[in-house]
Amino acid sequence: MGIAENIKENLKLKIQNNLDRNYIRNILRIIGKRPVLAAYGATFSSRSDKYLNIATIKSISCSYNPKNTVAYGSLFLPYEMFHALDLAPFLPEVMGGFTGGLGIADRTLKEASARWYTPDLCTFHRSASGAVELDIFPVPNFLICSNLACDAAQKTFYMDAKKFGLEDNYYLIDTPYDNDESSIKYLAAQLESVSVDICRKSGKKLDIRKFKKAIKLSNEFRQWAIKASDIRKELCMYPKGFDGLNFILPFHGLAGTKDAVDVYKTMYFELNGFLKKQKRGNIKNTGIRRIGSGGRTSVNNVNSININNSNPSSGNGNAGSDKVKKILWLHLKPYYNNNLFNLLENNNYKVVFEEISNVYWPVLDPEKPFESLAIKMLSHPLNGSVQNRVNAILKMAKDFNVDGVIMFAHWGCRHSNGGARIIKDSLKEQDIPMLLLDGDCLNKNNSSEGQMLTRLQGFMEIVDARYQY
Amino acid sequence: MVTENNVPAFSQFIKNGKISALPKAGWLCTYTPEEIIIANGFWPVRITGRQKAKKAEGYFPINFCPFIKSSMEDLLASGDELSAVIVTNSCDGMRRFYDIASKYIPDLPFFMLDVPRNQNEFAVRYFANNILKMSAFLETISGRKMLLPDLTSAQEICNEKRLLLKKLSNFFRNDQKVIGARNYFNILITSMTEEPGCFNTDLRSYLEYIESQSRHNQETPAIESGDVGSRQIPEIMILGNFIDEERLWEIFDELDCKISADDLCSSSRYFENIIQSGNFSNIFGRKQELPNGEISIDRLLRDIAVRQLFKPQCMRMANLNGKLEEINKNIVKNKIKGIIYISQKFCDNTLLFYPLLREKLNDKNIPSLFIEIEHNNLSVGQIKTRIQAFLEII
Repeated sequence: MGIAENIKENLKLKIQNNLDRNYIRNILRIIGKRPVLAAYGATFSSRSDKYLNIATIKSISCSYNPKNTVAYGSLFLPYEMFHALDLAPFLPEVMGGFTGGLGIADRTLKEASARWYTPDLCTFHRSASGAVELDIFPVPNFLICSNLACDAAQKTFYMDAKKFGLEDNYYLIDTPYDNDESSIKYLAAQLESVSVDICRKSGKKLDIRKFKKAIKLSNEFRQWAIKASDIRKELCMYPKGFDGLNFILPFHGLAGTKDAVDVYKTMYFELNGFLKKQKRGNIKNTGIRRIGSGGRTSVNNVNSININNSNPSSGNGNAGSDKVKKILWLHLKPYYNNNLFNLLENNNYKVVFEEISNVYWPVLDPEKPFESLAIKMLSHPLNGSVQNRVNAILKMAKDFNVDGVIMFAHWGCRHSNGGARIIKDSLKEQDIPMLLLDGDCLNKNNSSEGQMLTRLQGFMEIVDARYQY
Repeated sequence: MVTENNVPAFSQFIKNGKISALPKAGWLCTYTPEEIIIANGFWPVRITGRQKAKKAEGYFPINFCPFIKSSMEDLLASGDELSAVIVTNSCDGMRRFYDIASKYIPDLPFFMLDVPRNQNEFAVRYFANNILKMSAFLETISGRKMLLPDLTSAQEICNEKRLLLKKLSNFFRNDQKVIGARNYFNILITSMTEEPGCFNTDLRSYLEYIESQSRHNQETPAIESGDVGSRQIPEIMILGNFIDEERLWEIFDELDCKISADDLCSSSRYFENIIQSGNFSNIFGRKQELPNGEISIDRLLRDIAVRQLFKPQCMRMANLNGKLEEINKNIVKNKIKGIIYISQKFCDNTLLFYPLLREKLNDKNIPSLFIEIEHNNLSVGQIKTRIQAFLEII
């Protein structure tokens, strides 16, 4: 185990044994100090990972600092607004995901169950609610949520507001179904109204300059995120431990800050370096799809050297399994220790892109901040009809030239899983196989790893069989 | 079925229902304004998930709203019975239902009515605009334009239905055994599926009959609300989402309890509140009238939007504190001793509201019973035992 991993494991154990807001605040105060953070960052071999961890700790430390004005926010809000209002954002759903990684989800879920949250509900929300009840999460000053992309946040945030006596500081930003002029107007009016009200309650004046600045930074971060994604369209070798599914917090919660720019700029340069290495090594991802498997016969015919992983192939005797198979990952992943990604890696499968990292919104106009942020929200593929999501997925699949798609069907995520049939059929029309993997992102007791691995193996055999030499 | 005092069930009373030649438009959620459907020349028919899901299972995940699956089954079997279907974005499940149904039943036109979650002027204006889009959709199917007289006439029919159902509800609350729980909830479902004009006529006759029976039985010693002799009948409130289970309502007919209030998608949330002229102006203090005092379609649409958004709330609405207040008012007004909270499985909006409600009820020392059911798959024995035990507690 590397140094960074050791530090993380130790922190994890400490938190597990001291499940208390004040303790967490103290830990963050220590590791959030610049020299400590720099030393911690130096333990990472991947610069992307380093900046991700530094930015994450900084952000979470801010939210635990009682001197800051803290606002809980649901995942798909435009966080440019938070930063323009000098609010320290705290994302309960994302932190709910952290409880899985920290090994404390059992306790937070148990607490939620004791308070009559039915086990049929999404564990991100249940775990977050349990963590709030256990006084693990920081005390907010405001709670801002949206029905984008699901119904749950509206209720869980309200219950959190009740717990803290902040019902008057709870805001639901009602995201319309369609993306048209009247929706933009309706949504922009809400964003402005909420911003004005928060300023009034904070004793400040609304400063449009801060909004403009946040939007300019957001545009800069967007540009670097797109550049990093473009690199990944060709990249087959990644820094050790790189996982695009870990970048949720900077991608969403830090939009509008310099930290998001730094994270994605770093990612771009690091991955670009790897791409150059890949090209210098004349390493190409070759492999000819079998004729008749849908008519896609894309062939990299520049060079014939295959990428051979240091691990042997799955041994199914199919030479096509030596090619790195590119996977598009939909939704999120199990955040507890599991072997899914090991199995993929060991069989030359690489998640080359994930839905959560897709830049879905246009360049924002700083001169029209509320309208721009409304456009950003309405552009989200998870808003409105599932066809929006299908269109985005098909584009990603084409742009990244994927060999297959894996959709993690997280328990209780009805907006996502309800569209699975349409997504699968749409991909089938493009001759792209899709695996719908049933599981739970946080609760390992609600997930059968054995079953998931078996299904994954079966899927890999199907994809492997589509290649021949 | 005959209830106490020999009042026949509504379905027996109305033996020869009139057949209407109007084309049918299906709808699912009470936030759908039926007046728009009627004004466009259609017969609004609520899709109630009569069929048990079989083929529909292949379209949705396992842990998905059973009512939606049954509704899909209804649509798959509907052939050309329906000319159009209006779906609302009442929840994540409904959004996906719209996607799945419109893709895999391509010959049936679907419309998604976007219903806001907030109750403010922005939301009302936005919703009124969406209702206009819904009307435009129906116009393309009917081939004719909705005119002001169509809308005012439709509004009158819907308001009349609401008033009649309110009267029925008052009868039911005052003397449950006369109407009977099963009969009452069946009438409510019928009100959502029968041709409105015919239904109004039939229900009016039925209510007149019941009134005359009540007057006839006035010689019988008056029974104090909640008392049978020396035994107290517990007064309860039923709260939940779309519940259409005859066998469940039969349980209440068999047990000694009084449903003094009901708040379901299939009951009061459908008929409470009528459209009043000037609703919008009254609530938001804005003058809408045209200089010469005429009403316009736009003004009527805003009044409809207000009625829809300000009726007893579904748990999907943003104003959860408002919902708790609504329930509290019912508790106080009807002297409720206990609440039975019934939810379809996998209904996030309803299931997530319960912890909030329970906390509030604990503060008031009011016990509640939480029952999760699966549409068209009720375990009658189990539920009856649980309700019996609950009634004994209160």
